[in-house]
Amino acid sequence: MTVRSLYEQLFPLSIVMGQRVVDNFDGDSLNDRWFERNLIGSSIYIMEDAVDEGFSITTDNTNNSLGGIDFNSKRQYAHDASVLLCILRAEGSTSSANLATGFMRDVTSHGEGTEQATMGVLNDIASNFSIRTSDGAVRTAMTSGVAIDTNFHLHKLELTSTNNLYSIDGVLKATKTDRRPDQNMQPLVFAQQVGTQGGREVRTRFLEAYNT
Amino acid sequence: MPQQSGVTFSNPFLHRAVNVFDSLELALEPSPTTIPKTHFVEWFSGSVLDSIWTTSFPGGGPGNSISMSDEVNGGLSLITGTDANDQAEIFFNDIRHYEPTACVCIFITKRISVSSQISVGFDGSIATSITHHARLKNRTSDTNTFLETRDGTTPSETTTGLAIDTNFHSNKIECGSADVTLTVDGVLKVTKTTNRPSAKLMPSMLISNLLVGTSREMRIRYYEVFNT
Repeated sequence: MTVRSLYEQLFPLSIVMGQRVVDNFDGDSLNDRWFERNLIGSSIYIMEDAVDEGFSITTDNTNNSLGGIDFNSKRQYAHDASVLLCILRAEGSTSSANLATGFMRDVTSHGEGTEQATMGVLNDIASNFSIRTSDGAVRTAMTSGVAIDTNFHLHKLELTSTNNLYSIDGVLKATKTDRRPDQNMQPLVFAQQVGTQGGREVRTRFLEAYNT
Repeated sequence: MPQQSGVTFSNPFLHRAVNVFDSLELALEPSPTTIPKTHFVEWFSGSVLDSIWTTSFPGGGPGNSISMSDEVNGGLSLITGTDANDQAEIFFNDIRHYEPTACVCIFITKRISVSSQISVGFDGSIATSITHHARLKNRTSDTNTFLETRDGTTPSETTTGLAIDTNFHSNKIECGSADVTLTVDGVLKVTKTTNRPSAKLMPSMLISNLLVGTSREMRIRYYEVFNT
């Protein structure tokens, strides 16, 4: 049977699909849906002119320089029933860096008091990819057990009513139950150098988020 | 049924499919000898509405806006001005890629406000209302929702038999060579053979304010359109 609609490939029409977004990070510039946000310093945002390299965010050398792309506080994804998939990699050094994606409540501050669930290269656990969550009061991290490298991986974050799940390349690597966000969220991708180590770069070529 | 990703780890395309596909196009059109036609998907999620859409506020009264909602599953919000007959609409500015007798649109939308009418589907022109239509109509003064069509001259509408409400529904309008059908939440509700559109079409949606004094709002969070 030929089903020519994308909708009907995902669900029968009897199911009213929840909010969803898919971005392939292709073209001459970033899609309008994204807001480029320099929280500290002035990061560089470019579509890479290279096979399979997608979109790049590179921090400058300002102390703790932090730049990212987000939905400018349009928070359409549920803290307890949503999924985010992102194909992402670090370019260059991964030390003293946050090169990650995920969901966040208030994108004007990435601090401990900001509700979030992010994944990737996170400075909390320097050797392995990790997941980091905050309930708006305390932020904690959990390792995936997978050593950080600079290859593209498919990172998956699933927020449920009981836990936050982190999978890498199709394998569940962390189940986090503490300090989970409890308000509506927006997707983001961000790069930060911790200290004055020199610029840090993250690249992404696919992001999909949806409510379950 | 849990909502699924287009790129699940185990089986990209998906609960109906039995095969893994190398391309999205192959997932949608399995015959390798069929040349793909125009196919468009809008998610209505993000910071702002993509600039491929043209926005307009006929009537121009105060208080109108078109913006992404800051709300789970909220999609795009269209709000009219406060004057009677004020409208808020988005469309493709008379760039019409869709064949009137061989096209489909699927959308998830809802009307929020009382004293309003929403029309969502295919439209033939922004310059005049006397054009070609195939649209879902949800109007607060009616008992039921309608499929409304227009053949360039004469409009007519057929009830879905479904009571008007303010909930999100999935709607599918298929314009064929013999009829126009409307399927709501997976159930075929209207098969209409009269006053069908016969000129090229574009996607459009609008909300009209039917009573002075307050802005009126509608939402949409998915829109897919393609030629068959």
